[in-house]
Amino acid sequence: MFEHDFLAPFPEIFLINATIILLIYEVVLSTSKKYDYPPLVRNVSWLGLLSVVRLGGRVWENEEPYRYLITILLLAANAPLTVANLFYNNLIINNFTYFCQIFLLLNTASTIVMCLDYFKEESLNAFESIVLILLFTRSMLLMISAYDLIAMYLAIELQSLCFYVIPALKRDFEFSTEAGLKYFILGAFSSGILLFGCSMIYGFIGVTNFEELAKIFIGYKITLFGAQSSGIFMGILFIAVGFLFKITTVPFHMWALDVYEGSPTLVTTFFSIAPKISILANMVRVFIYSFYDPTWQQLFFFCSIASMILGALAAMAQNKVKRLLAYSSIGHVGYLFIGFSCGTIEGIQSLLIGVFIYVLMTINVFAIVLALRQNCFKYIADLGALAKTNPILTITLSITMFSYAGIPPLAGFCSKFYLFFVALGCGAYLLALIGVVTIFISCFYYIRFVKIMYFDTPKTWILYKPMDREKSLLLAITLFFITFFFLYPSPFFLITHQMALSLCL
Amino acid sequence: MLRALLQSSIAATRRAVAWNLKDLTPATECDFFKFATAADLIQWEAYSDAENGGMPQCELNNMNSVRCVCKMPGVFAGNLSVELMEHANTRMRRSGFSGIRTVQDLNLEDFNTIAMRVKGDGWCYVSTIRTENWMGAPGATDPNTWQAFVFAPRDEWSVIKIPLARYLPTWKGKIVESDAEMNAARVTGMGLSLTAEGGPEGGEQGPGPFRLELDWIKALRVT
Repeated sequence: MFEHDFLAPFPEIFLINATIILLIYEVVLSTSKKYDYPPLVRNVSWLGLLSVVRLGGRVWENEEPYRYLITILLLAANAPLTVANLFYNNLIINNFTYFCQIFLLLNTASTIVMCLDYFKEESLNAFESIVLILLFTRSMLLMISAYDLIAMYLAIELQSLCFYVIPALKRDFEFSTEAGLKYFILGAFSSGILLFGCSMIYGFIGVTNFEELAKIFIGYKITLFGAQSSGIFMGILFIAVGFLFKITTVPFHMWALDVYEGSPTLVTTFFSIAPKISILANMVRVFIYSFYDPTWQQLFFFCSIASMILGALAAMAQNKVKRLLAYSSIGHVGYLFIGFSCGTIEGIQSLLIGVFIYVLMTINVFAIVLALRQNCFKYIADLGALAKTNPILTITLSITMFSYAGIPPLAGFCSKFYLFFVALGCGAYLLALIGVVTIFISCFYYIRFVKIMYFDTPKTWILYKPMDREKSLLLAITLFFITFFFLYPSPFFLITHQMALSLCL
Repeated sequence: MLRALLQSSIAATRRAVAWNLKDLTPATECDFFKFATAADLIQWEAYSDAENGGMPQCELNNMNSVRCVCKMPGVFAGNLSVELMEHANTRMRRSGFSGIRTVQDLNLEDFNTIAMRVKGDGWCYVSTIRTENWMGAPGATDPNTWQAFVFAPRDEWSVIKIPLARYLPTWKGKIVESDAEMNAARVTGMGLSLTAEGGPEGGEQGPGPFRLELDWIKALRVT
């Protein structure tokens, strides 16, 4: 057991150690009278970024070109194992896990890059937020590679505990405290439901490992009214509801809006990006691999349709940017669920493509929101005449909004096209039709941004300060991907196809 | 209820489709309180430390007579006294404050200034905003109190504008040394008060009659 079990999760172990060392460094130095109690947020942010980037990448003996490209960008940690079950089948490493983790680390690095300037502008000496982000990242890495219900739940709780704290980062602002408290209550409630479902599964079946659950459920018809299967049905239903709470799907989305709005913008960014990857990866493993059954397809169909409709309609009535982006996030989860609920390899592939492109667009939008935040940018109307004051930023935001709206040939169109293509392929015509209609509706409020920036003049002009270099670099990279993704999407399609195959086969 | 829901949905859709910048811009001002008629004063309550054994007297009235149809401002008037009655609450060490307050949930999130049209008498009044308490001890129901001075010129109607950022967190009349930020979306009440002692230099102090005429209180969004 010990030959490989501590070698394979070396990146996670490194991250834990780096986090602990950073925490000790912060606490000792920030309370040091000799150094005049220095604010360490920026230092710790860079160190945290270094540890995340250093963490990424596993070099195999037979490297393939796209992996070698990643290792050029990231410093690699040697890990000779490619596919392995670790710790008595509690964790798994395969292509699906590897690429999800790489993607997650890149997103965490992007978030830390965005927060380098944020703490200075907000005068927030909260170095512990970086530690929490690193701890959260570690827990998400574990969640992605979880192969057992207990390991999955432990990883979810690790993630949740870090997440309960950071919405209340602004300790002196009660709106932030309110957001943290709401998230804590609802998060604890959903975790309880999830655990209850896990306990019911174990109670009726006696196993918690995903592979063994998959073997048991092959050919087993799960119904509500069977003697034993009713308990299994309820257990899986509770697990599904727990997950749906955490991923802000309708009708379990109520907490998201107040939490997104009340949290500091940086935390909202993190909420919109990081949990989607890990929770969707976990859901795919649980429901496509272990609990595969057409019964759940109906539930996810309903959630997908409801999320798309609510995300489209409710966002139209918003005049605050963060709240609109929260509804947009709910709507996009609905689109992603199209691929998830199809339950095919192409469905999983489309889901992964959708997640990747959604995350890129969200990073782009929130980087702009963070950059403009300096002048109390809160309402959509504050963007008026931005084209005259900052034309480059306006073009960036316009392209991102067009991508959100699914306008070809941008990346958003590619992801949505493939999702609807998959839905039609598996016979979910209603899902595809509702998706198209809701995208058309959502165009109203996405393109409204463009109209306000270019054609509207507010009563009071707001002159925005130039953004920092790190954010502009991040914007340039994400805009490049969004704009030119359609030219050469093949490597990415190959990667996601391989991820889907490694999950299902 | 369904009809109201349908109408509000149609109105929201029209606003969303019209793409009018005015619909997306929050209101720049909102009338919260008027003191024009007796009905407006019902939501306000006058108080003083006479409840605990002090001797100040105060009342909030409207200058309208029963047959008068014109709108006249409200008058918060009384007499401040620093003396204590014989049966006063033994914990009271001094006396001399009066005020008016209202308990009403307000959302000031879209605004950054409180404006009031008043005619003062030389006293320095204190404007109070109370917000929900989310950081207090478990079971604590006292709202958070935020206060700012109101300098009203004597015998002259003027519009006083107080930025919300100028409101300081206080507890039992003392400023709390804290960098707390007001949650303007969770306002539970407002008030105006004055004390016989304390207040800034240059203002009236000590016992005596007072009279403050109020016309309206609004919230503004000043850019």
